[in-house]
Amino acid sequence: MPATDTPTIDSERTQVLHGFEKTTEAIIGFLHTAEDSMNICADHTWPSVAMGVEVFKKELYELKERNVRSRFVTDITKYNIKYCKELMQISELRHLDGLKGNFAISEKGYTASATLQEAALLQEVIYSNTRAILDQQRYMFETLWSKAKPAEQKIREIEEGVDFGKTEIIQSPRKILELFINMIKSAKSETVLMLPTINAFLREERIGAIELLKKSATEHNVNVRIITPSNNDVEKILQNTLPVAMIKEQQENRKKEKRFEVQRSNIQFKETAMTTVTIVVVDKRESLVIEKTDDSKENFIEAIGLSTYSNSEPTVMSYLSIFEGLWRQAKLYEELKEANEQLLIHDKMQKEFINVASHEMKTPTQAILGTSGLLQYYPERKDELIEIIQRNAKRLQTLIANILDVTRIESQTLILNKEGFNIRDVISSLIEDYKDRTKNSNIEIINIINNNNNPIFVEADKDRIIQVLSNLLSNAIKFTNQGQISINLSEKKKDDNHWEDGRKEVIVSVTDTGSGINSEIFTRLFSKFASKSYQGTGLGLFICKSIIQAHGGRIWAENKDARENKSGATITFSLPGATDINTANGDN
Amino acid sequence: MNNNRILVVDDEPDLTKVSTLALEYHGFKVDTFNDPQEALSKFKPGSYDLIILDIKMPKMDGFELYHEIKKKDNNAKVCFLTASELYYEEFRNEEYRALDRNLFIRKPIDNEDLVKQINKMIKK
Repeated sequence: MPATDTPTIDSERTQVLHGFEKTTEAIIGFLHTAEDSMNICADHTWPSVAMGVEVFKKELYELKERNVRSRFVTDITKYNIKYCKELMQISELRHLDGLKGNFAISEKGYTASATLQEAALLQEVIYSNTRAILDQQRYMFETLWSKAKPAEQKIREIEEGVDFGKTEIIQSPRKILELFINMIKSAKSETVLMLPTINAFLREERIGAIELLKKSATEHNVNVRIITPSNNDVEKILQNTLPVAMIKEQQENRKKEKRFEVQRSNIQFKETAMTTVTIVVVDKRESLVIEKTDDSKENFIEAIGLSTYSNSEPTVMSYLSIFEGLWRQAKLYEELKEANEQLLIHDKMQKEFINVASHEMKTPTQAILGTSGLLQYYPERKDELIEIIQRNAKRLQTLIANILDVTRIESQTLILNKEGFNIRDVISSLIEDYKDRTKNSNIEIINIINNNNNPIFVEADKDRIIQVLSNLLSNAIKFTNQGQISINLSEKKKDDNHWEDGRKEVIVSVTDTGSGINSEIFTRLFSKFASKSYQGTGLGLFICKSIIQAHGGRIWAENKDARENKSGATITFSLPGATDINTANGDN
Repeated sequence: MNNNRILVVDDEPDLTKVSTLALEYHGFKVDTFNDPQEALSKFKPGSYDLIILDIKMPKMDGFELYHEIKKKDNNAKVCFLTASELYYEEFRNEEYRALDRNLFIRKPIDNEDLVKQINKMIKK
């Protein structure tokens, strides 16, 4: 229909035009002939049609050139905002929320189309130049125009995030599924998902939602958080879902924010309805709440009922805060459980300690009590009996000292009286002492360190170091029925950054040819109650470790290689060396 | 002199020595072992009027030894002389529950009291 054939007021008519060609021709003609005014009212897809279809765009720009007074009303959204800005170049533009239907009125005619498709030509258009219809539609336009708000204001709201979005109810399960998947796919920074039941989790897994969430976490750096009830099946899926690389990364850098986190909703609220909907919130901008009507169904579409979609800030933020509240609660619950477990372990260890300690106290007390009674029965065996009393009194004394040390260590009141001294001298005299004690046994104590007379200085608590060495020597004797015990002393420059430059590390080791360290306790050798001996509280090496660590040193144990047909153990400890005799300003 | 025969099994040599001397003074005949396995292998049914066992011992604890001895001689009178704490029972609840509370003598105990308790058990 060429422009010259455009109907005039003289021949009033109203008609429906079908097909792209005819509709396009009619609209172009309509736009082309307008001389005074052009009022257009159209839905949110119209801006893309107006600016996205070249022929329409050209005609609209020409309106401006011909100085036709234009007024446009549309529904400005974040998706059509760029077209709307273009339209503002041509005409005054206003916004109406959720506007439906499309019509345009010039001083000459009226066109309307029921449906518009994004950036496409029109299928069906009504055209009329009937005066009555023009008046009626003009009135309608004026009414809408007066209600609409300026485009500038709406655009500012959208761009500043004050988007008064929409909230709608979706009934078609297929549409819900499509929307749900699209929302997950579209996430840019954050997705939170709350599932009501284990079956819901499994249904989401079946439609590929869990896999998609993982993908958005790993490939698009989206923070994904899920709250779900859990069982073995769920855990299995989650284990397979968390890619190995990501778990590794999380372990290596704990502080790094986790991108895929799952909390188990162990708490069920029977009174509230938290158990019947799935909630998903994406990027703090969109929420979808899916009602579940039949949890027994395996299929997502069969299990769900109505859904509420919203991109309206108050609604979205409310759902997000419900999620955050439950997330925090689930996290707290986890922490509480963990703390409670620790408490139980602690409680058990305390009881174990009291049991071991009291057993160790009662045994020598029984010996002392019984033996002192025997002195009345057998006065002639006094010497022999007093020896038993003394031996057990010493055992009690050692135990009490150990318990006091553990108490000091655990209450962090172990005080070191550091002084500079030559550790070679200290070890030598200790060895002579122990040689004397073992002279009637099958144990030979070898004093390797006597071969060299260079002093080796340390700055340490001398009594505490003697305590550690005595403990190691006593252990070596206890576990060696027959054989050799040797002590090695060396000094080396630290090559790593363990101590500052110029400081030396002094290494002391005690090696025996005894039974070696039992493999059952090897890994917890230096913790409390690690004892395979039925005499002893298992406190000795715990105290040694604490003393050495308090000095800034290390202590470790090695067994001789059984494959080489050798038995025995070596316990080694290190101490920071004093740089020279001046820093070792003690009593040398 | 009562001629009652007593077996004492305790891994602490000082304690078996004290028990032996104290009980012999009061006329008992006493055998002692520091190794529970050796005590079991040398055990002959009917040889003792009372068997006194420590509980916490290496290789085989007092409860195990009790059951093994009962297998060999169901009529044997067995009691425990123990330094373990009362709430150690929490860990060994089953063993404790199956046994008469009166079978437990708690360390430390002086010689006269020990003899009194032993006489009471033998007469039962």
